Amino acid sequence: MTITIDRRDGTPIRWVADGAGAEPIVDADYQPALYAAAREDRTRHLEWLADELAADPKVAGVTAERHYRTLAAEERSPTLRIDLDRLGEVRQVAREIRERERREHAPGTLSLYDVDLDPGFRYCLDTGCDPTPNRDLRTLSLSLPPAALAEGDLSNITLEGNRSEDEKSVRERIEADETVREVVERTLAEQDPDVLIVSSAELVSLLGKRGVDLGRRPGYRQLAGESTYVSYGQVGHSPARYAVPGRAIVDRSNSFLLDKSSMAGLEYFVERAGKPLQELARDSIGGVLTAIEIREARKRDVLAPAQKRQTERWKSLETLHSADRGGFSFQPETDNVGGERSSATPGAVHEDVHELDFASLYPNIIREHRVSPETVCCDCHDTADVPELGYSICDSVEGSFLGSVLGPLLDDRSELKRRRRACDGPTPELDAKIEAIKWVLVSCFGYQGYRHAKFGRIEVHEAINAFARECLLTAKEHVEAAGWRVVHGIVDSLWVTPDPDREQTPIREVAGAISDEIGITLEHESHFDWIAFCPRKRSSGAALMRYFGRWNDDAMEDNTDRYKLRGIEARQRSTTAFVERAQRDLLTVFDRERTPQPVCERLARQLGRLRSGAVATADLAITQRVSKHPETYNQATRGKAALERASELGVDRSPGQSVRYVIVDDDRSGPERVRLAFEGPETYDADFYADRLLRAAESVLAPLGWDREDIRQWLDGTRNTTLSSFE
Amino acid sequence: MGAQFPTLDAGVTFLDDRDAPAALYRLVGDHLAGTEGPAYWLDARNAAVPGVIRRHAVGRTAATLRVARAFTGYQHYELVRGLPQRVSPRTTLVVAPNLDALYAEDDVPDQEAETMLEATLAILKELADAVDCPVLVTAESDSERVRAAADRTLDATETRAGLRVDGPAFGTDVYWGPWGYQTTIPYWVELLGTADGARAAEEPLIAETAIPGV
Ligand SMILES: [Zn+2]
Repeated sequence: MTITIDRRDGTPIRWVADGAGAEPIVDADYQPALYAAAREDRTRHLEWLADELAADPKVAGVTAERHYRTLAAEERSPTLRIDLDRLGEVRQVAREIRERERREHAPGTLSLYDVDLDPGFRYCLDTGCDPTPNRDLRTLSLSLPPAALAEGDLSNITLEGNRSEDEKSVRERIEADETVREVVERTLAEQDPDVLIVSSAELVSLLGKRGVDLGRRPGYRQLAGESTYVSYGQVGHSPARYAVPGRAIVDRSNSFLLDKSSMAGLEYFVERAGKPLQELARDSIGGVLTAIEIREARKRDVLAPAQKRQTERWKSLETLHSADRGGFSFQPETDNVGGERSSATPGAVHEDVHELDFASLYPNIIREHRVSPETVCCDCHDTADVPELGYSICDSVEGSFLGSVLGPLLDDRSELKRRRRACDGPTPELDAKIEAIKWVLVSCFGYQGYRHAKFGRIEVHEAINAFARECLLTAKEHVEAAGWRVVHGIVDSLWVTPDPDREQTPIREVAGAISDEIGITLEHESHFDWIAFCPRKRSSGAALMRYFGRWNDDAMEDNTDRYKLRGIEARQRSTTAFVERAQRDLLTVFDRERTPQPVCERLARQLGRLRSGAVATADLAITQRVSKHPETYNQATRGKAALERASELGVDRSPGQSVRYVIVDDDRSGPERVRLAFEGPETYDADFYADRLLRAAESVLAPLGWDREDIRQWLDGTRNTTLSSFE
Repeated sequence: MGAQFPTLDAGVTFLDDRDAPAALYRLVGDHLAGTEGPAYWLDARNAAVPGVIRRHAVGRTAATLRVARAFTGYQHYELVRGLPQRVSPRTTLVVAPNLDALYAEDDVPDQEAETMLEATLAILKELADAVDCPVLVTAESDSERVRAAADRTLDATETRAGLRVDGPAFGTDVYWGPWGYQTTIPYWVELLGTADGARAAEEPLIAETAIPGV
């Protein structure tokens, strides 16, 4: 029923759809709460805290209550419920409690709960308010190119509503003597959107400063300033966040889910997580999972800890060693076309290959085997339920916490896929939901090992991995017994080819039998005429899986592309359009000839064209995510040069944003090394791009056993003849 | 090889291994080879690599070792607090590499980090004294702090002749706490609680302020 939950002076205001518009409902009685519990459940510490808080004007009252402190707890613990007057002051009160504790007690005497919940989400959890709208949301997109945003030039703004019928462009209107302000205000009045999808949140303040009210009431609020943070070892950029009365803001530049799916995907998770759109839209995948988990924990009366204090169990080296092994990986030692010289694991080309994938392997293991923080290594069982590790999995309760979190996503995804199969024609909404759920499902395993995951537990992460390895080994035994040979395997996939000396049970039949035995569906994913695996280099550690193959005709109906590519340059974000096209071109030659020399001949022609200066610089632009501020780079990297150039041109980029540039002279350092793409440079550094092209060629040729040195020798030997044919 | 390796005595030993990261594994391996009884490795920053530990602890000597890894400062602190219920006079070694590392991370507020590191150092020292056991620690960034709190320092260097570890010719400087071993362990259990959060008496026998810094 809700469009957005705003607040004014610490009081929540629920905006609910009402006929054509929306109405604010002020909830003046609402009081948010956090909880404290004491080490060893010593109530005297809670009594001390209650006394300390008695005079705090932010605290409306305290109550002794009992709740579960962990998912595995058998009894409810004494806690102090601390009610606050105002929404938005919970973190502040928590900091002050920590400080009081630090002065008088040993660290960790008190544990705090329900501290870091987004305010709208907290309100929905506490009051049962349903954050889903009861009508189709009306959206309006407001977009401004980055350069125009940097200059504060609003004349290039574009507006696009999902109710638009006949839309005149903003330009046309401005030319008809309307100001930008008038155009935006009139569009808002005509469309009365519920959601504003902005290309950057800065648009809200930029328009606000020009006197444009984007909300259903005047004014806007800044929720947070911009900041840089580190997550999963990656530097991210968190832009400023804003709210306007009565409308949800979705920042397109800062919404993982919107980027990977669409509004339909977002709305799906608003419902699943019970979290208002504006807050959910800017969540990372981990944030979405956390929200769903907190909601499930609430159902079990388990509080959400502010800090994770649960520790790993003491392990022997043997257990640690088994637990630390990664996912399943299998490569045959023989059966390659040479190429051992330069790589740890040889590449290889195989004919007539079927790919078998376990569908959503990790979440299905979590559900099927009831792997969950409260079941793994329980105190009441001594059974060795987890393969290799011998951990117990408690069976004294029905279901499991993680199963309840992920089960609905698995079921919804199957159901949505079933509906999609039943549809003719495009199904963008279904696609978006399926895609959004996929991203959350693929992250659930890694998230369990993430050190800050609220309900994550390292033994759960290890147990999932151990079950997954067992699944793959079982599958491998079965396909081999049915007359097939495994040519490659990794994590949740097997590639198999008929064993020439034996008879085969049809592969789909084999996959069906394995699915039945394991209880997780093994899908026949694809059939390739041939597939080429690139060698994995030992130096790069857990090497990326790189391969390419040609779909068999029976697998072509779903694919517009003739080839499937994974991990090679043409699929990488940082690859230039020129190199991508060149690599695909080399692939077609590889496919036709299947020997290295013709591929090298094509490469030589591509190099010739590159060196003659005939490639458009627009095809040579490199897109790079900025990981740090230019002044903190130790080395003179190309990325640093691009940032310096951007800075000189007045278009500063922050960590987490990206920059597009062309290398014009790789021997120089500083801003002269590059040109930004929008400068439209006319020259480029051919040697630099030749090197990139060579690397792409290397990937194509590596499965045939040729490495960079082989390619160079071939090129040297034929340079004169090849180039002369172009002159 | 034996000659340049000091034996680990009871008390807290700070190993300065910045110039020789292998020294930690060599010292632990040598020590385990000469002793029997449980040993504990409280890990931070993934120093506990089973393959590397085994390479330096030949045969069955590593079988007595138990490892628990901390990934946040809070987990590290909880593991340290849990040690008193694990160790006994039979314990031959406690190892805590990168002792300060996780407290220095952004997710722990500075003042809280300070208090937790201080408490960690105090607990390890009391523990070493109470059960007469060597505690070997290394540091990641705040090595002066850890060095100052330790009973002795060993300096490890890679030389052309191999790894070299130097330390003062320390005699045993173990002192017994005011409670002696028999009373100390129950005292610690009472004071710090058990690691798994099981119930203890509502009130401790001795007030918490009895131990400075904890
Ligand atoms: Zn059990």
